[in-house]
Amino acid sequence: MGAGLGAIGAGLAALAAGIGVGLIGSKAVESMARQPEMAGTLFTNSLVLAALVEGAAIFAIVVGLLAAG
Amino acid sequence: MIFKNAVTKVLKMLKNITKYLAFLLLFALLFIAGSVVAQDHNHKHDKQEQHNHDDHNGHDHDAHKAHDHAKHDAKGHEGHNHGGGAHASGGGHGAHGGHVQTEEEKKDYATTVMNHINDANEIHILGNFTIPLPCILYAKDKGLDVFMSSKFHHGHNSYKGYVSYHGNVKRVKPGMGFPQDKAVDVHVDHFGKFVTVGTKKYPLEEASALTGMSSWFDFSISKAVTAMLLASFLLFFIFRKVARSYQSAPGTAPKGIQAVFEPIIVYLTDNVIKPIIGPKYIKYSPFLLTLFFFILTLNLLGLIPGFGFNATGNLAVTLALAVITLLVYVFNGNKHYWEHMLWMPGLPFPMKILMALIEGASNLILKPATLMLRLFANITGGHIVILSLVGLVWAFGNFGESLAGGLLGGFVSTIFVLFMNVLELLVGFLQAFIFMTLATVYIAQAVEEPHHEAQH
Repeated sequence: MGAGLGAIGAGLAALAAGIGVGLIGSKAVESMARQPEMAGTLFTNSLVLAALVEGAAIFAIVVGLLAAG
Repeated sequence: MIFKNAVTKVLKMLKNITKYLAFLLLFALLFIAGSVVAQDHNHKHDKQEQHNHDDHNGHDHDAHKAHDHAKHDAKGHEGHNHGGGAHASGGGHGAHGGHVQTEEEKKDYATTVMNHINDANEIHILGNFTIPLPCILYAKDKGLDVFMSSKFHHGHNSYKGYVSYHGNVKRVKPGMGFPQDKAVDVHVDHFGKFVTVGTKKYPLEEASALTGMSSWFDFSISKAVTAMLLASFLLFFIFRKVARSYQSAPGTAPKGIQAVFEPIIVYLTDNVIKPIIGPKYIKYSPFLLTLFFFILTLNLLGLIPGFGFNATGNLAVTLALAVITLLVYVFNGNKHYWEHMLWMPGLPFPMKILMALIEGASNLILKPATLMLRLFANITGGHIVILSLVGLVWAFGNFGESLAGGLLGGFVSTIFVLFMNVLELLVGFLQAFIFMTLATVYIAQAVEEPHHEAQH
């Protein structure tokens, strides 16, 4: 029971983080297309933000593993 | 003219064919390797399989002097029964007849995957061929023990009260009457919780971390440590060569290995470190570049098939990297940084305390924790996926029952494992880059000069 719920929670977190990373990616590419001279800065910033969003998902996965464990 | 054109055409075709041949060769190699590895993984379950012990000859085999290989092969395999050799214990192996694995344990590939993900005290390459590593074990009640992991004879023997569970050293719980001085013929159970000697069962203990939860500590040169040492030496020699070529031929175009590293270093310095940190970047770029190349080398070492180094997929390793980063930005943080973290100006008193708690937790705990977990989770996740795909051979082959199914599984898993390996190559670079970029951002936040003093 706990394992199943943990897996569902981790899945939900991955879903949310996926949406977040998708939004970051779409906006970053859009901005790079609008202002190619800013591409370098935008790329670095979007990577950092994606990493931060991913951090939440990783925490959720760890919590899910703990719940499963 | 036509002849010349034809020759060029044929040469072009040949060139393309060699490309495809190289690809096919790679594919075939992976296919064979995948199938062999998966077959090897169920060698302990498959009763028909030949268990070749000839590899043993290269090892230190004081206890196995009288081991009769021919007799062993003729006898066949009953569970973990390893033939009637005269071990140091002097006992026979009849007691092991009762350890035939249950149906569930036989199909438990998840445990096999986790055993490969975990750190080990030996480098297990194929079958019974392992590279032993030194074990440095300290127990509170009996002191330091230093020996090579080959003393465990692939987990079949105990040594000084320690046993090996899939290459991972565990201690038999002290005070239970387990023979400490002599090497005993043992059988560790499927999950590594118990060890059986004859008919007696003893519980096992994991090594403790600094907290001292169990009776012993493990300071061994384990697989992860070996990978880190290897990466350090590799980087030391590569970068010494690169630095020498700058000294010996200053101002000329980069040559050889220098030409490989110069673009990477220049890209990272000019596009990441300099814009984020600002004018003080030169002080921090050696540390950040070292982080990048060290993590990258460990990630790539982890992708070499056979060795199974999983250093950046080990929490202890990523913890150390994250803590070093924490120390760097904590000790270089200026007054502005500490003030904004602990006593935010321009806020009412209760909010200041609240902000100090939030900011303090964020800066001192969450930032290194996410650095640690991100790298760990990405690399471990990738390795688990690769190992699970290798396990397809096993699942398709009905757990060692069907050869045709195994071959089909080998074909399927080869495609997927090839794909995952290429993806992991990307992830290896990306995670090293992200770790370095985030470390750069954290350092930049700690050392940046206040610009908007008037607004507070």
